[in-house]
Amino acid sequence: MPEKTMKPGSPAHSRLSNQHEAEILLRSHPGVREAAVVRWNSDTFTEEIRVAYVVPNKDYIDRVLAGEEWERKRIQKWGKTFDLSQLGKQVGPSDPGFNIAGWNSSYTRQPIPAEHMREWVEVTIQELQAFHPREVLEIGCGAGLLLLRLAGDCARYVGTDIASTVLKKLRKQMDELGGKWSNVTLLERSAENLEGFAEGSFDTVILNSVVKYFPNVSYLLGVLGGALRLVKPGGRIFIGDVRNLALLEPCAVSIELYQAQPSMSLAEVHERVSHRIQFEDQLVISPAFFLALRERFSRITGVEVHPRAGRFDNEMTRFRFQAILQVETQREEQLDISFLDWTEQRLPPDSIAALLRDKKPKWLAMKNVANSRIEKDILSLKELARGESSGTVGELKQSLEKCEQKGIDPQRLWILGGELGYQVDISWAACRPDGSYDLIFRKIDDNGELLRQAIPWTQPHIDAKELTQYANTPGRGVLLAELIKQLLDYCRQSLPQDSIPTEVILMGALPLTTDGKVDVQKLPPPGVQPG
Amino acid sequence: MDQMTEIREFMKNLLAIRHDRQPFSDASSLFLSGRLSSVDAVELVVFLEEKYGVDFAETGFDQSLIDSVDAVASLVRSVKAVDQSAFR
Repeated sequence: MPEKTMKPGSPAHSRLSNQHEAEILLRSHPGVREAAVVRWNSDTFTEEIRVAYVVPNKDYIDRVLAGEEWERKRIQKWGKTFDLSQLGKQVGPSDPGFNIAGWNSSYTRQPIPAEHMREWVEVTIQELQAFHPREVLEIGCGAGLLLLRLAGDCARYVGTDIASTVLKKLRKQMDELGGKWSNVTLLERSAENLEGFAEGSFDTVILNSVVKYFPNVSYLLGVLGGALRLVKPGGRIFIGDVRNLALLEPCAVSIELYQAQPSMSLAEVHERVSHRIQFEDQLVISPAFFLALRERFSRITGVEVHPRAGRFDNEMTRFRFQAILQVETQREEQLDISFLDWTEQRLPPDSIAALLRDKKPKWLAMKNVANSRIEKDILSLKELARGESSGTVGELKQSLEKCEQKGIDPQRLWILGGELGYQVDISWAACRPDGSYDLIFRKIDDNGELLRQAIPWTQPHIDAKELTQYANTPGRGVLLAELIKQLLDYCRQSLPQDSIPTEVILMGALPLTTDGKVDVQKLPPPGVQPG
Repeated sequence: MDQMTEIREFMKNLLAIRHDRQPFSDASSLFLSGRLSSVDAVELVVFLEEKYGVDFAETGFDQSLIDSVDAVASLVRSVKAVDQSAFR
């Protein structure tokens, strides 16, 4: 390859030449599809800079991400994350039974306020207590936020977790709290390990806020399939605090806008949002995944998916849901009802209350109710998606301030129903990307009875064969970081010192000239990672 | 490759993958400032355990311990000092 001359007028750096030897070596690595190595001359750097521009081999990356070794590694690393969270100094309150070390906000990166965490626990406890669980398996019991509250009423409570330090802390808490814990068994193991449990030996299996740490959707499927065998007829699997894939985009927008300086351009935010989504570390799942399980497993007779209850505004109430898989419950006929389209009249909560109070209907069902919790996030997303994002973060935030709220917080309706003697069920089964929900009020009569038939929730077309479409592929960022390190090591092994790249920049594609050669002039300068 | 360079490079790769274009010095706060996440912390912890034999179960763990290149280097030095004293 001919030596490139310095690009005229280039202020800080200029490209010198391709490094053939390094390119050939890099291309021989299975993780690399394309590589160009360019030596840079620079006024600002004292040392010579050799940048390897690498297009990763997508098939290789996908293969590694789906592989068992990667699964195992990911699970170990999460276990480590939780263990590390327990080694730090105590933050927040030190009440026994309420160990919230490691629960940090994605927005502020600071610990989530204790009162938010209390509500978060309380909501799930209430939901679980309604089932009167007696024999519980909790997969990923962590520091025992649920276990310490629920185990007292159970004949048997088995908690498993992969993080040994966390379990140690839990045992210590149990000692401090005193009382009998003879019905509790703690096992240090990963989620898929369900050895030693008899079929049908639990009425409730709990996976609370833990599936987001699973390496991929097939692992999740394996765990749920295994757990299903352990549940007796009439029991359930409760999957709590699941991050909703239908809302992954507004979630990313929400966090990036929160963290952005007012002067940042919306184009930059847009780029950060797509990067955040692509490199997401956690498993994010669509409610449709759980609906599809009914078609996969005949023992699953009912599936509920609903947004989290709670009055606090945080990432859990905004973007997460609870899924309940009912196991061999009696098949019920479907309620023969139709849902009012909320968007036609946009009934505010007061009008809904008046309607229930005056007409006392046996039921009232509505669909497409706009969700006030994430209204601003949805508007922001629309603004960013318009493509002509010429404004700044500050301007966008200002215009959002002026927007009138139109939606309803689901919490408001739960409370309202409770006050008027109605059972309120809210569903995210429709999986709409604006977080809107469907709901039904059912009148509880004097005997505490209500219409018991199954509710005909709207749901999208479900393809139970292709479950991977209902979740993201987490951990891509970690793998690519590992690839960069591997490539540098790979070069160090066989290249002379002065040919080893000093930096690797990952690219979606290499820019080409009209005659199909790598257009060296269009490669980004060192120290910049293109999106 | 010397230890400082190695630590610097490791941090640089983590930042690069987080889409972080800002320059950083050996003293720059990388975790407490929010530039890197707890997931990155685990990557670094595993690296330090494997490469330099740091045992966080012994030292305790706090992101301030690994917040900058300087912090990591001094952590590694303190571990090495302990190791050598054990052979005296």
